[in-house]
Amino acid sequence: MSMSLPRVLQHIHGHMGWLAALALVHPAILLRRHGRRAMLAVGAATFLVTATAVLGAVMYPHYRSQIKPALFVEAPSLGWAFERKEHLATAAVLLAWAGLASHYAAHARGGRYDTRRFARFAHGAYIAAAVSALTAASLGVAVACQRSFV
Amino acid sequence: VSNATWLESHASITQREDAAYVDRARTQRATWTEARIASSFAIGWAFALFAYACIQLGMSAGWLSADLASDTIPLFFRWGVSLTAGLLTAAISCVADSHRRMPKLATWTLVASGVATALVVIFAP
Repeated sequence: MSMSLPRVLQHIHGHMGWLAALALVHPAILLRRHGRRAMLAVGAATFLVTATAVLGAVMYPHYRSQIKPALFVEAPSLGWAFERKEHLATAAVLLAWAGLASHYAAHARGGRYDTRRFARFAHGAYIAAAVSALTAASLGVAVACQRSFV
Repeated sequence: VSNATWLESHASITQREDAAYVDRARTQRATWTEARIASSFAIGWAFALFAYACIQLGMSAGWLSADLASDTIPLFFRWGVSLTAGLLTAAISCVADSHRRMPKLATWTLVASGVATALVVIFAP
């Protein structure tokens, strides 16, 4: 059975999306202790969610031409759910980058900064990113069950 | 103590103080540059999300048209504008000498971004 390129990308995007969502939960748990330095976990989760988003952006023109019109005809509520998924995925990526930058700032050399506040900021950003990513991944599965690439 | 001796010692003290000030300034610049850049990016990314949500709310309300060109995809338009706004904010924050207030600024930007994004997801998908 041969699979089209968008269908292959969709499968990879779906699996990477769940991995990224779970990877974002890791720093959200790790950073609850504000003194903890976890650059590897934070960087890996941010990289994974960014790579997933880039793959989604590559697929987006295909989705727009092949899936979106039919999806809104068949199940408008799922069509709107996918629109919400896009916003949540964007939020997850931007919050992850904000968390990465603030986590680095909290542990950078030099004592002129309120590092505890930056650590709290990073923790909050990763909690919000994880919740956004998990919700986006769930909505993505719901849409893929209704209609996917041939 | 003659006037000549007093002037000479006073001048050497001033020179030493100047040299110490320059050394201290160089050390401070070297130590807080990376934290300052990182915190500026934290604000920039949080502001990018705020800009993204505001563009979406504006588009849903009909205040803003994304049909700037025939092949413009609104999602990419929002990403492009928000990332540009975020990078600009990061650059301004980095240049501006407000680094002591940055943790508070970043937190409030994140709160505003969260509220705006929630409004988008609930009311203006």
